Amino acid sequence: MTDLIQRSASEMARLVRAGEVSAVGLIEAHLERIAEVNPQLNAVVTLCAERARREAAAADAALARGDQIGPLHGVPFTLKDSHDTEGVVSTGGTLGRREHVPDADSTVAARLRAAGAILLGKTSCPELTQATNGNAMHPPANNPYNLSRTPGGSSGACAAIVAAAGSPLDFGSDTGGSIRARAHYCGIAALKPSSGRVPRSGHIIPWGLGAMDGLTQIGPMARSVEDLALALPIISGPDGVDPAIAPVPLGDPSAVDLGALHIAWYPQADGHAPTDIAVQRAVAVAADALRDITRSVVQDCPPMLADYFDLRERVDGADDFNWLRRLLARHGTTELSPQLRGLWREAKPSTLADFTLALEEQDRFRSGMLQWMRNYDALLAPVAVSVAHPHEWQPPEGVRANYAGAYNLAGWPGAVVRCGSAADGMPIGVQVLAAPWREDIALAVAAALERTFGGWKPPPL
Amino acid sequence: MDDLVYASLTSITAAIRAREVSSAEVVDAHLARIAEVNPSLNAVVQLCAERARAEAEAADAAIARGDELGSLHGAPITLKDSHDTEGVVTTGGTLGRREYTPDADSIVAARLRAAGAILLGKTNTPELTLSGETDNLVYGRTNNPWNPERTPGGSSGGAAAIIAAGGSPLDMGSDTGGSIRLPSHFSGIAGLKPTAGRVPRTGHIVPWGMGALDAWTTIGPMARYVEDLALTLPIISGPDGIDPAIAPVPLRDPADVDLSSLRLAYYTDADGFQPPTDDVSAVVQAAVSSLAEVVASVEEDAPPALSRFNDLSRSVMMGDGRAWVMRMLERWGTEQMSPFLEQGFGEAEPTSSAEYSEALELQDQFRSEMLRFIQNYDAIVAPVASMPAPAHGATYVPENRRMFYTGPYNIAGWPGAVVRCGTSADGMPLGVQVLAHPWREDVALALAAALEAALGGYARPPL
Repeated sequence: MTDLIQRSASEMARLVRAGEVSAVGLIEAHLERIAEVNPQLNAVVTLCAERARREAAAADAALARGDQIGPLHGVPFTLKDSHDTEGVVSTGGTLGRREHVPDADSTVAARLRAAGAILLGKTSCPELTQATNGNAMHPPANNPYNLSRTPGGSSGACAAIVAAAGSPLDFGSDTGGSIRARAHYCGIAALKPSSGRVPRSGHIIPWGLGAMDGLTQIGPMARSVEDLALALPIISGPDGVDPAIAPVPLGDPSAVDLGALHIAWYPQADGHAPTDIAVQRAVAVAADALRDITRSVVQDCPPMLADYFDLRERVDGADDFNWLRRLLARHGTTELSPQLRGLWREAKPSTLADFTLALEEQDRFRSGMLQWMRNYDALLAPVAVSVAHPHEWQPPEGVRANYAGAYNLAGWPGAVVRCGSAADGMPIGVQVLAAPWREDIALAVAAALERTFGGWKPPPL
Repeated sequence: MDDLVYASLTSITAAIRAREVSSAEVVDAHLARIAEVNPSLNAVVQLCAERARAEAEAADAAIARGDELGSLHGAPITLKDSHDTEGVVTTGGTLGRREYTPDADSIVAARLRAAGAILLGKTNTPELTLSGETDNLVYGRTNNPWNPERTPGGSSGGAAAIIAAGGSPLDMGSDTGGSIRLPSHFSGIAGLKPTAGRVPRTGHIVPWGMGALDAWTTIGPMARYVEDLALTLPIISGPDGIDPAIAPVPLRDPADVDLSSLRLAYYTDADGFQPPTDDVSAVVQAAVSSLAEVVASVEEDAPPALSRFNDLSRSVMMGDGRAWVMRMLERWGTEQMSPFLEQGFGEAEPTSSAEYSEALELQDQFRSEMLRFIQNYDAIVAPVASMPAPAHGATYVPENRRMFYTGPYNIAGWPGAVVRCGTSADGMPLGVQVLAHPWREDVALALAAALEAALGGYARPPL
């Protein structure tokens, strides 16, 4: 069974389709694994085991009848608790939703289930996905490679359970690195799609955040890059509700000609906190590995990258976090988690003229990034300054340690894949960024790195 | 080609390519027509006649040599003075740019010229394109070709007036709240506001980078015939690697639209807007009656969100106390604001930042509600304005403040095509607008073409 649950979601789908394993068997194996590892990980906060078993039996029956089946038929998955799930408690990490049972799935949940996937349960997320790990209802999740360390937030629990083979697939959300940095911490593969690719209807950070709307994207997290490519088309495209989604065709990663690609890379960035030597080395080695198979590899970094920090500060806090107050009020939360309370203190309300100016400067940042990227097809970068840190560690005040968020503001797709390990064995991922709408390129390069470095490795659990 | 100056751009380019007429003849015919009508219109504010003649000769030589030709090879065009044009004074209607000569074309100008089009000159715009009539302190007022006592509207009023009068077969307007569609309606031509995110605004006076208002402004074609909108949209569409809001969504061909499968909604009157005159109502009814024979279904229905448009628009546009407008004026060194701009953007008290960020969220909600409404339909047929072209200055009168039916579709980001469908009791042209789902310009254009075929479309003004 260890072997089965460590397979990719793509392989599981093939096995079910070929009748080599039953959906029931697959579900049971994962429920068993969750029962085994979750006490140590605190990753899964709600299980829907009975429903999953019923759906698995129905999936097997459908297959036996010869019904038409979806691409994820009978494949189990978990979902970050930021997604509304019909009939299953969806807290979004906020107290006002402690008992909230949605009567409809989020668009992403609905599309996955329509593709035949079977929901096992929900994975922990910090309050409104805005803080780090844990919330007022759920203890912090632990890193499967070292329980005294964090898997990070806000999609850290997704990463932890996927890395521990309790689930082959989860869907995180990424407003400032929440998918990518956590995939890096837990040594798995993940994708933040382009802004405008995946509808946020029914997500706790929904479409409709005005000034910050373009930052948040939903994307797949898995152990293998092929699963990201499998899942992306299922969740992509307009739903007639999220007004920011554009029907841009998806390219096929397997059709990307690696030999034609111009690659840039940087081991650390000006205006950012320095990265650890191990992280720098992993990116350098990854860039080196691409030298033989791509057209060119050049060390270069967008010069405006660090403007991100100032812009985020000016826009997030411009209205004294009233956007967050409104979200909390919508969900009936009166008592904040300590993590969110920390965020509040940093607010720097601005005048309205400064506010609208900051919005214009956000557009200029996006254009500057786009113009820089015209010279390259993909960009390799650190995901974070270090490997996963101990739970109790706090970043020093004012440290600009986020290596992922600039690409939320730019709206670019970014894939992460494990490319190495630190001396203490903790995983190190590298992010592959591409121009807007070119998930195919990011995924093709990530797959090449996975082939070279082996990608995900089982944790000692 | 007797009526060269009233021909469609499509037929002009075909005739040039077939050597039935030379580019030089076509350019000269249009320059002559401009000389004839412009004194009464004041639509063309800069001419580049010598360069145009030189380019026309070069175009003819290229044909003689058998060179590969762009889709607009040798065809004359004008451009609204909001587009940067290399070597040609580009004021954007603002005094700080009275003598400004860009050293590069806007992306739209560059793409048109790369397709072989020849620029005749620039057409008048109100200051920064931000008014509903075409008048400014640099060049003064533009008149409607159907009646000089009336406005051609704004902000693409110069473009609409010269096209209607036969001085140019094509111009590119910009539309932030109706600036392509209103003038098309007022002068009886065809115009298209594409989907937000379709056409780059790089080098346009209202550029990409307007933050909260960024998606409102779209550049689009204006012509006498719908086929010319379909011909030119692909030329100007798609990412330029600079405007960060442009998405590479494939364009579809209006000729492939199956009209008989389309579900239409229409309205003549909308909550929160000035009630239409009888003839505006009648022209929408006539348009709908003619389409009812060819489409799958027609239903009277209007998006409920329309009633919130005017408040929403005001809170987003004026919320920062017009600081964004003042920044644009400062950027161009304009010290004296035109009275027309002042009327639209008078001193405004900023709201609170909490109210402003909420207005931005409400803007997203408005977009979503509009989107959910249109899931039941393929297109909407609606008035462009409550009345035909009024007397100069009438759009500034307080009781007419809600006369434009266009702005909701700028916030929604939908494509909208306008085509003439009738005539008012006092002889002025009347257009209707056809709105479609985001990215479905093909549907809007196919319906506009059907209306043009059924109801006649463009007619020559008495000029």
